[in-house]
Amino acid sequence: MTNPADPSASNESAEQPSAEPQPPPRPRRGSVRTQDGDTAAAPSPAAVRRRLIAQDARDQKYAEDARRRRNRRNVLIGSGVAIGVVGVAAIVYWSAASSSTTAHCVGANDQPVSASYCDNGSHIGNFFFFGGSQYHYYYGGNVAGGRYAGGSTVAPRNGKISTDSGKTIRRGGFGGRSSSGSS
Amino acid sequence: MKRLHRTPRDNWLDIVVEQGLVYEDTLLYPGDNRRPYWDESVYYSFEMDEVLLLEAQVELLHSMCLDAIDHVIATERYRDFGIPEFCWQPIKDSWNRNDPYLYGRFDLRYDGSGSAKLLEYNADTPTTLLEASVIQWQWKQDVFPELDQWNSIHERLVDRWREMGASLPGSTGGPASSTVHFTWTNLETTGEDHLTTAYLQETAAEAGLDTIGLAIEDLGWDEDLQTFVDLAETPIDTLFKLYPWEWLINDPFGVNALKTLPRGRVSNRDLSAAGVNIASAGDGRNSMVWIEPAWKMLLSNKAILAVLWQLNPGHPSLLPAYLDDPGPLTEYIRKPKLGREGANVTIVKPDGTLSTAGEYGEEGYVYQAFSPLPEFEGQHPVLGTWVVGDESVGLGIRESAGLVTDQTSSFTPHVIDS
Repeated sequence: MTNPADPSASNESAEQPSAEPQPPPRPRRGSVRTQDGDTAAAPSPAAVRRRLIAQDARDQKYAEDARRRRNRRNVLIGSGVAIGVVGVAAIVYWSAASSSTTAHCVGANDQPVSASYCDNGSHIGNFFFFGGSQYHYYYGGNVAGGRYAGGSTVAPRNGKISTDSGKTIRRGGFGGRSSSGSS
Repeated sequence: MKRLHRTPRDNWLDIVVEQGLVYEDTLLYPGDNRRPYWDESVYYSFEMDEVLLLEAQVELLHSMCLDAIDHVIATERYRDFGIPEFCWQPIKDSWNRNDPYLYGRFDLRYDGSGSAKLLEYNADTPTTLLEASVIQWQWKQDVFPELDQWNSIHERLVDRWREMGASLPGSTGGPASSTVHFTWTNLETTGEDHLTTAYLQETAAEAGLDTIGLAIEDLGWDEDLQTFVDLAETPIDTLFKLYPWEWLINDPFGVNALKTLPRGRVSNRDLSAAGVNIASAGDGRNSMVWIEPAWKMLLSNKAILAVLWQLNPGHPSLLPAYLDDPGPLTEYIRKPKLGREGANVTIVKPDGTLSTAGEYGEEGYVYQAFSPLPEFEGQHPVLGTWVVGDESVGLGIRESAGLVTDQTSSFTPHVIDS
């Protein structure tokens, strides 16, 4: 519960010219990065530098924007623009959702399941044991509002073993993708 | 509590999409009488007194839940929860260590009068967060700027990260030097899990933590270091996972996950007071902090409903609930202990039964007295009330045409008027 009429006085002080005593520094904002299996191999130093520069630019823009914000609740978003990584991720899903024709794949009880269920054909079920008893999930995904609809593991067959940089790293031991390739 | 109508903003779809609400059914009207997932043509209005009362009930429920966990662990009732034995000690240690916890969502039955009743507690991987925290707030700012809303979810999340940050690995007492990895599962293809995680990542960054997001499928296990690593092979100190513990422990890496939990039973509160962080307090192994912590396995399990009733019989915020058989109940709803999204639910009444499909339930059932959801203009709202840390911080309402809130429900915003 917030009072939208309550302006935050502290935001305004940041715009004073620097001849005045400096306002207290804004609390540090941490970094936000995302890795994905297709593009994020171990980054080159140049890539790291580029990323840091971009990050800085974004942090600065964020700080700029923050100064313009007035009410307390508004630490969140300026004028309806999606925030950082949420916006970036949203674009991906939105394009995917709006360009596809929906071919709903359903399970035995007509429950919606992800299309990958059908694509993979013969996955009758992936059986797990829990508390001594057996049950299985259908593939996750295609659910209204997207909350957990079940969804689970195509049990990762064998996580790949990679040995670059002298380490032994297995991936794919959580969740549903059979393997994400090497690291 | 009133259900009211208002013409949607002209470009409502563009607005909510831009704000990140792009889960598949945001806009779908697939032929039948389905509504869009985000439906701002209706909204609920509450009075402030009502909200304050609900808020107090939520915090009481939360503390009853913590007491119930204490009881379950002290009496080792893990079997009642269908939890495999290899998890018992890790759960107990995680509780005794006071592993940090971020958030949860109580689903309540409330008809505008009397006590709200607990339907269930989504304490491990709650979603519908972005719409509750961001989308409905922006809607209120656009159309009812003069009114209030039960919603400080965002601020409290940031505060909570700040509180937790000081005791996370890598911290030097302040939050600034800790890195937290955020994971979601690629199994969820509409984007909801990824976006929920991305949003939480933003709240942590706002609290000064460095954050890295990746799919849980991309986590690597480093045999040499006996630790989890990200795609850049950096060892992970703190992992937020939007992925249920009960799935995690059954995955091939599940045993490794339990191995990475810090050993020892010292409360991290004591440690952080002494300026020591959790991970360095172990026995020299690499240890990880998991958020939500392992003890949430008990809270996210519907067996907790029966334990709550047993410990607080007759409490006005609880519905009678029993484990494994209906006990004295004649009208009840049978829920799988580990079910989600209204799957495998059976409502039994004198005049018949109603079941939903699904594939849960092998681990057993909980029987809860049937108390039909209230009806507002033909719709049945469920109040999703958010807890961050130990505080009640906000509300999101989902409505459905039927009596089980499932994947076809719609989210509607709310305001506090007077």
